[in-house]
Amino acid sequence: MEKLEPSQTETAALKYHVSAAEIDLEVAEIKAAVEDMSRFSVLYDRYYLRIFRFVYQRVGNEELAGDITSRAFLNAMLHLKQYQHKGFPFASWLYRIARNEVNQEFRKLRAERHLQAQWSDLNELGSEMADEVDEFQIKKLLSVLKNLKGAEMEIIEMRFFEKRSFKEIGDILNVTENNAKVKMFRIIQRLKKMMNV
Amino acid sequence: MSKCPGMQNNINIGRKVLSDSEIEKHKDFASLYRSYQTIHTPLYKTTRFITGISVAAAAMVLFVLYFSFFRNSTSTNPLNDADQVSLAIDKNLLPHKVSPPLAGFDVPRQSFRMKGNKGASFKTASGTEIIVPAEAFVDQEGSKINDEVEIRYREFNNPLEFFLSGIPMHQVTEGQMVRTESAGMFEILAFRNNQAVSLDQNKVIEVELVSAITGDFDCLHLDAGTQQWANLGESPLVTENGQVVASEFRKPGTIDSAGLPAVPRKADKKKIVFNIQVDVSDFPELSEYEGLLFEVNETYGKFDERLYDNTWEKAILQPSNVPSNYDLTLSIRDTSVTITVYPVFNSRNYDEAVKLYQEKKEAWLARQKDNSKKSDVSDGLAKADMNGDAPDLSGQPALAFREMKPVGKRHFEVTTLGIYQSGRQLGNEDLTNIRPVIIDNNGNEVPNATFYLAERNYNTLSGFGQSRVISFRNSAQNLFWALTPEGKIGVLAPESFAVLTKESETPRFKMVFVEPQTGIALIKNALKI
Repeated sequence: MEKLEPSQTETAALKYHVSAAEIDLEVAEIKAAVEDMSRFSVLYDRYYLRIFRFVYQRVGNEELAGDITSRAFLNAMLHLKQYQHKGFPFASWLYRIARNEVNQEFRKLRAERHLQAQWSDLNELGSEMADEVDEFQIKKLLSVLKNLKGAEMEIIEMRFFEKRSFKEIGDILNVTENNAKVKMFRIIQRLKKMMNV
Repeated sequence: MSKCPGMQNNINIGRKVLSDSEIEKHKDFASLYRSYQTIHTPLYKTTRFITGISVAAAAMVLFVLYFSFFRNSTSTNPLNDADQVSLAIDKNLLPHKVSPPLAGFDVPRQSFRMKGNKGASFKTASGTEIIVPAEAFVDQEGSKINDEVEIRYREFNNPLEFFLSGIPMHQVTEGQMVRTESAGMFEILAFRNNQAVSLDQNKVIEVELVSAITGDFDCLHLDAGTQQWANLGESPLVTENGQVVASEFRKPGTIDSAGLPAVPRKADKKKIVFNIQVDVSDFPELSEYEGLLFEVNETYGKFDERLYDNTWEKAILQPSNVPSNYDLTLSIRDTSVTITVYPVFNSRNYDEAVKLYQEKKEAWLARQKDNSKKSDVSDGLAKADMNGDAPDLSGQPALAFREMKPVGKRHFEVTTLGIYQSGRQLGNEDLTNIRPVIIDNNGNEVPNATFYLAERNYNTLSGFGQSRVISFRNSAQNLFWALTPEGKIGVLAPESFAVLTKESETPRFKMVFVEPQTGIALIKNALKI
């Protein structure tokens, strides 16, 4: 089975956790951008790659990902005044906007969801179901994953394919960290049932 | 959360990952900023704004005047303001038909206020968290509520609260009534100007309910129409250290048997262990063992290794809510740490401990068998057969009801306001049925009392009305009480109950009936609430 190096999305996800000092600095940058939107470029530069990858992971088309990412940042600029810092990293707010844009795109085009994964991701997910995972089980897993609900797949995608922490998943979905864990637990239970493990 | 019914997920494996430089090609802040400026040209620079400004100013003055004169000054409670609501809610406003058996003794509610158009989160007195999204509520016409909404919330965590609230604790499965054990229950309602409002069908309130009971439970919702518990799926426990616990810690029927030695476990060299001198008279299940150590159960919180070398002044060991585990509280001056531990043995003492356990277990089983034969109902009833004062249950040493300490949180997604719980069905196997005759203080039979039974090993309550046949698990020190139509309560000492057997078909319970306050205090005392 093909084994690939950890994707760059992993590195991006790891950058999510920032120190209190960094958050304070960012809050000041946001305030400055509200006063003068040209100063939003600092935040744009910092988060562009991450948001682009998040979108690209879901739409699988480079041009479309570029377009949706621009729309997401434009929306963020237009609504920056309404942004309230509640202790979450600014990134989670941007991810939420990008997620809405992606979902709108799917609704508009009635397009099918595309997810990008590596064999190593599927192995990792498979090991949640059984102690030993073989090729046959991975194929079975792939077929049952196709039938998961969109919301369920989104959590699998963020946790296993994008390596996000439960805290970050919770922030993006606007639910608590515990809720994200419980949702994940239920999805794994459902997958186990579907796979007869 | 987005829903894509019928949509398939296409999974592409090992597709090319774009490099940073490939993504950078799409980056263009200058163009984005131009788009922003086009859309966001300030309104004050347009001519339409300038002609309309005088009208707007006049309207503003009127608006301010309106608020100064007519706004109700009492409705300015700050957000997250919680207080106890002592008055019961008008029954007609409730989404369910639960009615408490004793007027004036219902479980009180906490009240939280929020703006309907904004989201809010609250922490209740028990530590439960409630997260309400913005625009969550609608009025009777289905219109969104933007002004103040009051959330009324309460929890029911033990048999006494189940009793006082009148919440049904049974489920009907395949035509059979099955009792429900609860790992925590709550009611959440919302009001505007004292009028009940509903949750928008597209909104979800999250509740992180503090739970004191481990094990597998399901999310149950009390259906307002049928008054039946609807199962919404699993309700896993997330412990303090963030671990999702799904394994079965306590199955119905596996009773923590007093006097039975703990099953020996070998110490894990990688984990922290404590050597504590235990007074075995407090822990008969630990007596006889040599070389006993206590290992930290990391599922319920890790021990900070930096504290390991402290010389603690005091160590208190108490039975934990987790069966066969103990809560160890270490303290020095103003600092104290509580951790969950279980007994272990080092390899030198382990084999001996296993041998001893087998011997003790066999002796214990033989004793149990013998005891059930010898039980004499009349001996036990003598304790309940008291004259004068109500029975004093405060010094019940053998009673296993104990303080409930939080072990984690259970998560609920509230889509309809009402009552929810983490519950599981208790089987009807091995039940003993009796038809007790209740005799009051004056020696008269009490014909119309409703019976209640709190089972020793299960967080549940059974109510028995018309049939007057009560069923229970044999050999358990259950707490039984009766409520008369006049609101008087009679409580039976648990040890009187413990000796009842299958042969005790119509025991005579002579009970002292007392005023509700006293009766509630007795139940509270016995349950160690």
